Amino acid sequence: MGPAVAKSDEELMLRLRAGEEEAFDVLVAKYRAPVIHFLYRLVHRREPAEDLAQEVFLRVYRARKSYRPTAKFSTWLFRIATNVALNALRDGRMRHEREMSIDADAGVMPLAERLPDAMATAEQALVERERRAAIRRAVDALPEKQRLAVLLHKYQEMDYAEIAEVLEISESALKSLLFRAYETLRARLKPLLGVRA
Amino acid sequence: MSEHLKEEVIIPFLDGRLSAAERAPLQAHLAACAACRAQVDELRAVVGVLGEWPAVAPSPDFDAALRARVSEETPHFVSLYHDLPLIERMALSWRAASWRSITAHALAWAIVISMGFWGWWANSPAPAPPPVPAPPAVAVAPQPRPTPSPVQPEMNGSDELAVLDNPEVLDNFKLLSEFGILFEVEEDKEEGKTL
Repeated sequence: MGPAVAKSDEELMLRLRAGEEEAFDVLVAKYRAPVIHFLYRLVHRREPAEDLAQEVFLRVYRARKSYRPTAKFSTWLFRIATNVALNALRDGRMRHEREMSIDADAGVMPLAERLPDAMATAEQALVERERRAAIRRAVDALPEKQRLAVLLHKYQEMDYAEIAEVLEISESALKSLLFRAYETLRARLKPLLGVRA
Repeated sequence: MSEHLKEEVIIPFLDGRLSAAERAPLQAHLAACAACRAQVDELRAVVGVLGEWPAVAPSPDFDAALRARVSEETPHFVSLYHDLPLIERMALSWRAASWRSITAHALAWAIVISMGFWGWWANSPAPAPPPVPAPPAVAVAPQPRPTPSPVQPEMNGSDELAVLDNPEVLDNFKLLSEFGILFEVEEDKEEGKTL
């Protein structure tokens, strides 16, 4: 029975540990997009986000021999992703990328936006772009832990227990952290509330 | 009016993750408190606005690039290992041993003592040459005693601790005495970096 048959992530890691390289491909196929999305929202550009994502998966691969299924695989994976991203941001590797990325979403616009229908006007596109830049700046300005909590909660849709484990805080501390983060965002994004792009 | 909403329940309330029993008193409060209602409505709107920040699609060559890096792993590490100086290769090998701390210290001391003995032996005065018949007495001006080299301190053969004045021996002593501790520091670093 190959790893393509539905298996839990932890089982796939155990198969990888046993030497089944295909199990790694299945895990990468499943988590490639979520990890890249998470890292992209931290570093703001696709190329460095993908470089970091490769580093994350390489760490998973390197750790295969010592892997023990003591936590959910996705929790472990996002903890690695968080550490890789924070290390890169702290040591300055990504500072330039972030500075370069301010108001530079054009390169990563979804297909639907790159091919606007006949009703879309240049002005609307500009407004949408401004809104995205404002959202990104507001999230970016949050303290590090709040920012990570919002990214994992809003964009990865993880449950509280899992986010708390990734961030190594209690579940009740996480709920308060999220509340404070969204309160800050409420103040910063007030001009955008109730006004659709 | 019931008390205002506690901060740790507001986000679970918005996420719909409260039980019916937990939700009922909150809804009753919101019906009566315009301030809390406005706050919750705005927070709900914030969560919606955040959804306007789009994600990016992974590059089509992401998997191939990752696979290439993974396939480089083993030879990469083997070549890195062989490029390391002997002392670092020894350190890597020793990491795997649970008894490394005790043995490393024993080895370090054995090396230091051996080097000390070697230093003492190498600097011992050579055996006296056989006596030569005395030349005819000639008046010779007294010569100044040569200044000992700063690198090789003068040894009189009786003071073994003097070998520790040798900077080379001292450097090795410092290095070797920290040998075991270095492993633990390295290991801690690695554990911290793994995750």
